Amino acid sequence: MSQLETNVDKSGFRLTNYPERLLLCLGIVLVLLIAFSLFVGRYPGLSNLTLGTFSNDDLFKRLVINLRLPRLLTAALLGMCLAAAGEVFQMIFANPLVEPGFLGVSQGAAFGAALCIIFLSSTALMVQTSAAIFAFLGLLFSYLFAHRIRYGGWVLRLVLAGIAVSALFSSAVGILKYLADPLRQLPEITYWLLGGLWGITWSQFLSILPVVTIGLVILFSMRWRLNLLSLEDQTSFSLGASPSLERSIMLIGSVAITAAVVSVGGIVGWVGLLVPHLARRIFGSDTRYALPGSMLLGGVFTVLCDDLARTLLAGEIPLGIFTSLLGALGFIIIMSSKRLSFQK
Amino acid sequence: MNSPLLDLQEITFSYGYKNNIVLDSFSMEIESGTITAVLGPNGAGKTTLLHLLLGWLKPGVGNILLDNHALQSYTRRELSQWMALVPQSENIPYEYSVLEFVLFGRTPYLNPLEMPSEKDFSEASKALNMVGLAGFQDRLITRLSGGERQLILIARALTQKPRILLLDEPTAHLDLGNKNRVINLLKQLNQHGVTILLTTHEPDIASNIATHLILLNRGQVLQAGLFEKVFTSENLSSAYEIDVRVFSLDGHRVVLWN
Repeated sequence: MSQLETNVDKSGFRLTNYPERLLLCLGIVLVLLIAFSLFVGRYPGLSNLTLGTFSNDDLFKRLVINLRLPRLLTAALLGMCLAAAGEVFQMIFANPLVEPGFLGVSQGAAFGAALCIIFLSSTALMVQTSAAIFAFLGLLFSYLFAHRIRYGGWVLRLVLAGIAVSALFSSAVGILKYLADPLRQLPEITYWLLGGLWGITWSQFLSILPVVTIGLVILFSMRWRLNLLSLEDQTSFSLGASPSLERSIMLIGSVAITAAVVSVGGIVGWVGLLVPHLARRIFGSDTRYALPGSMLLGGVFTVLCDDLARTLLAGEIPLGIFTSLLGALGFIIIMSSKRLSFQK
Repeated sequence: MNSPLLDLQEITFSYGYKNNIVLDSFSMEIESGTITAVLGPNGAGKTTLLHLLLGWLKPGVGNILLDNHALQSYTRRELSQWMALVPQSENIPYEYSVLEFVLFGRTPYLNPLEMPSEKDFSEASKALNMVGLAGFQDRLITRLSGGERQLILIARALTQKPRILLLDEPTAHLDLGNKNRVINLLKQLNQHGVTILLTTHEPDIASNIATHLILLNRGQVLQAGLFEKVFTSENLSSAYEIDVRVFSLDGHRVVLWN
């Protein structure tokens, strides 16, 4: 038997001892938040809201069903997808500092959308397809370029490659903006780059729903397996996984859902970076809980940011600005806090 | 005579560069229930050999038979139920608890969409018990000492319930006390029927534990066979290309070199 004492103090590796229950609570919070947010907005104002409003006020009814509901559902999906993709990227690249935006995916999608708006058409389907194609290309370029860099370790090379590819795409977007028709096309592209969910309709929501649902279900189903992909390839291989195949499936799933939500919401930054960190702090590193935790927290975070974006000022503030502001602040706080969950 | 558990026949392997042949017409046999040590200088091909046995690397020429069947005829899952690897060291990027980490060894028994069940948890706990770290399951893996980490890597491999355990320099970074723990653990496993193949740079570790010895030099088997027969001054000298002497002291073999 062990020579070592067996009653060592249990250093908490996560904030909760009941991750399943907490996930359930978070799910309920998300649903309640969406329900509550239906009533938040400039019309009719919270103070004027009575029980009878919904049944009597036709304008309010249409507002809620045609505008707020699809928008809130899209916000929730957007947050879930970006956070899930962020968690997958951070595991696969064994690096807590990557997110889809760091590897050329978001900038690629933005370029694809801008290109489509200017040269092809601005119908939702076309824009989304083009965004998805260029999102994959962005990732592919980053990956291939990282292989060729002759400096530093793999992770550093990947991040450097991602920065370079993102910069290429964003300067290309700059050129496209310069070429764009300032009255019709430029506002559309600018909207994209700032990220925002105004004008989301049911048809837009439904157009991304299939891809997003399939992608999220795949990622969710493989959530335990994702752990193995953060280990070295030969280790996960010797454990019986097929690292290349499983990595490809999860990467394609993540990029597809990212491209889908970015195509309707534009570039909404920091969700994919901050939320997985937060989830790991709460649920521990095991992706069995951290991944669904990321999804739910991402949904809650984005719906909250979107509520703020549309209610704080008379005019709407782009969502991307809020997620970046709160996300970056949250990131600074988490990263500089005294490892609150890991006290010994 | 029984056929060997592992049979490497005329293996040639190179890492894709010209004239960079790591293993050259390499043949060896491993009998079931043995502890085989692989000794040889740096770059002799020891780690490559383990990766070939795992199926991670594929030989350019030659066959590897596991229990009389070609290695390629086994599925990924079957193979990882047969064999587990304890790597020399491992980069663990996230702060897993010891139990979560050891649980990864249950992968061969779970399909890609399956979550570990109570049974898997109890297998992982059993393995932790076996390496003497039963009380460690809620500790963070990143906070353990080198010796404890090595034992955890072994525990993860044991959770795979392998019949063959491959270890890449299992005692390389350990102090004497921990070396002793690892050696005793391996002996104990062997008594339970696990066939063990380990590479090492330390002749005294090999002489402490191995029943069989394979001496490698420049990608070729210099000598292989029963430990006592191979572990001689002449053989070690020609493997390491320096003057090595093996003495017997109180029933232990001691290696001196200059």
